[in-house]
Amino acid sequence: MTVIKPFHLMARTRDVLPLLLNLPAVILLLAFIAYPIGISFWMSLHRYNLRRPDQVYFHGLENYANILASSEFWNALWISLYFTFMAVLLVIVIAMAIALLLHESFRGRGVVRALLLIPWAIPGVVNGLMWVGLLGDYGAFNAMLEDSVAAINYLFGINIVYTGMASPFVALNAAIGAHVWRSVPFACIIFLAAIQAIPTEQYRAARVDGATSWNRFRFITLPWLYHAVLVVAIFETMNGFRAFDLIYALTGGGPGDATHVIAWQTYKEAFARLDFGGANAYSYLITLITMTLAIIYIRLLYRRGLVQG
Amino acid sequence: MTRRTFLQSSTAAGLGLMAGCSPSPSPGVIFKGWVYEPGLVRENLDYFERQTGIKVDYNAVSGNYHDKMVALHVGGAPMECCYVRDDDFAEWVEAGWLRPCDDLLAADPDTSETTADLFPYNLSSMTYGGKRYGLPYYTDFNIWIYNASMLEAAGFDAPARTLDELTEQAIKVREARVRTPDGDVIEYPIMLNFRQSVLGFADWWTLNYASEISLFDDDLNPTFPDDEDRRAETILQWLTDGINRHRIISPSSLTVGQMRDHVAGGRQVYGILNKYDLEYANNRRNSVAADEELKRRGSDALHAKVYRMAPVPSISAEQHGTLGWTRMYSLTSRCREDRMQDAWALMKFLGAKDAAGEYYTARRWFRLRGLGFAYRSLLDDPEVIAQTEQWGEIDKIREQALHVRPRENIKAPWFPDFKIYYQPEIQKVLLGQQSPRDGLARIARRCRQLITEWS
Repeated sequence: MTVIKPFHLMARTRDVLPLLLNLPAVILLLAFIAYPIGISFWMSLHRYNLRRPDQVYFHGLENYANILASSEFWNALWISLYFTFMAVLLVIVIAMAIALLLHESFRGRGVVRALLLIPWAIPGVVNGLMWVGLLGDYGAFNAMLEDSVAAINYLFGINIVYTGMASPFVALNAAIGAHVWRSVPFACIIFLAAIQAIPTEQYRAARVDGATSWNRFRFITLPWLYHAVLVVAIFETMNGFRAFDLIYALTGGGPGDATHVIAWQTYKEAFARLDFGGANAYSYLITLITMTLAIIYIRLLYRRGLVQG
Repeated sequence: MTRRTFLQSSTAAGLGLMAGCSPSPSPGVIFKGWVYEPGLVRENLDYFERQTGIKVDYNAVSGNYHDKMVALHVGGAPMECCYVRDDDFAEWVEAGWLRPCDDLLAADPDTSETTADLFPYNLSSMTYGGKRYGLPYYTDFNIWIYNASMLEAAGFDAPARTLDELTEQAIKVREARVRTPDGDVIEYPIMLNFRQSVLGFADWWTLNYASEISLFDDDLNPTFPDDEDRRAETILQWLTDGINRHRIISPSSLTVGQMRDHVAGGRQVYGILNKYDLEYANNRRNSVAADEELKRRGSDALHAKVYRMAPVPSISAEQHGTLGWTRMYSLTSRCREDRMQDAWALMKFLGAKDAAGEYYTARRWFRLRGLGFAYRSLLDDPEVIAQTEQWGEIDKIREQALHVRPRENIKAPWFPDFKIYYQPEIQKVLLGQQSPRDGLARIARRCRQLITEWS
């Protein structure tokens, strides 16, 4: 019989204790993250429609093949790509502009910075409902758009018929606008933090060299912000592809299929068709697309030497 | 308080909360429904509890009822009975979430009388595969409404009967620049509801049924786009022209939310409304239009017949159909055996007669909110007639009730797949992105695919 000496016992305890202390967190991660991810992938390989609970069976990659062969998927993908591209672009440009403004010293800057966070704090569905009010038949934004179209008609002698949110173009771009409005504050905070880290000596040296404000922005501020741009781009790409709650509340996917983004299509698979196999396959495809885009961003910026590892 | 006592008391509170949340079997009948007047539902249940001594554990499920109930059913949540929409009925039966009640009906001779009193379309809507699954909560049908004083202002004393007449009349109404109670000129006299939603597009079915079109044959194969005289295409062409060519139908029809609020605001001349919403639209508590009219008359009444009902305009004047639907109470397949009789007593109280032999709940819903009922005899009830005459016209309702049809394919197992496909396709037609014929042909093609997939 082996007798463990107190020294060995202590040594073993020293080795095991950290593992034991981490165990609760590991169990929670496995139970609430790893297991759902694993089981949803497994379900994506099955025919699993809740309307036919007695007909659940493994059929490999057929859900994926069906999705890739469907016109609905490709339509939703193009709409999502447009939505995401416009959202990422607008969020970066607007948030950077606001961050540059908020970096300047002015009276009440603290209050303005605090107010900026309000859109970020609003839940997606509430944001959607608020924009329904603004863009609906009796909404302020709708009235402004209608008056603008009337003014254009008058000035140029043309006859554009304004149909508000019944227009596919207006509906999709209004959804992008509402998404951007909510996403800008987070990006702005990231940019503001990055701007504050830029050494002021560089600006002083540039001024001594006679650099204009545009050149100071282009050759000092912007390069220092590339890392922040990367973070915002990846984050907003994920957000753009997952946009659902806003679409649900604002457009309901319409008019026609103008706002059938890919997350909306996933929702329809899961809760309208009750096809949980197909819906899980859709979710994995969204993940794959988002990851691919993130890798492309990182590769592009690293290749140009804009972001240091 | 020290840090240690704070942690100790927090832990104790957390454990107490967890213990409180642990599932324990409900002593009463577990009953779930969507959020519609939960206070009134609770009053009905209190009356039931006093009559029978049976406790009811009622829960109004907020948000998207279908999606949340799917989660509850899949998760095996304990539940004796629940509300079911005819839209979801076949899906829930196919999934095995509902329990047939033929055995309970057979063992209960009182129910044969109430079953015989049902409108046939309601009875059919609660039956699947030859088995009965429910008792009616409420039922109703769509009606055509018009604002009589606005029509009068435009020089008409009666609404158009056919679609062609309606086009002519609506153009003249628009040109007469009639105004809302707020003084705004009405640009589009007609507003319909073509917003994509779980319960959307009832107006498309209504217009088709008004022209007595059968969109599906007995085997549920689509008859369009080559149905008799291509009438389905005619309807869709009329809608498209109404929006894009004649500009008599508001483009907001594709995005409108609650139709009854729009009507109550007095912002339209014509439209399609749930019949029970006519009470809402003519009730001064909700309706600017009714309130203005009653003020003008110096009346302190609650209702004014600002909006009136008429047969839904159709291709020819002798056609009279409309769309109807059924909301029901059903037993779930997880109904506990020892609660079965109590649950059935509750179902009968809510969906048929109470212990005193009265249609208590149906009458009360009608009296308080104008909800339609599934029992024919109530149409002859003096109280119901007097109540209806305050905001509507009982003779027209009786006449229209004879021509109600549920959606023909609503019980097809592929109906949910069809629903999410046809709504965007029809919207594309209305937006002018495809022709009515192409749109209908695409929908028909998808129907045939779904039939093959589900057969």
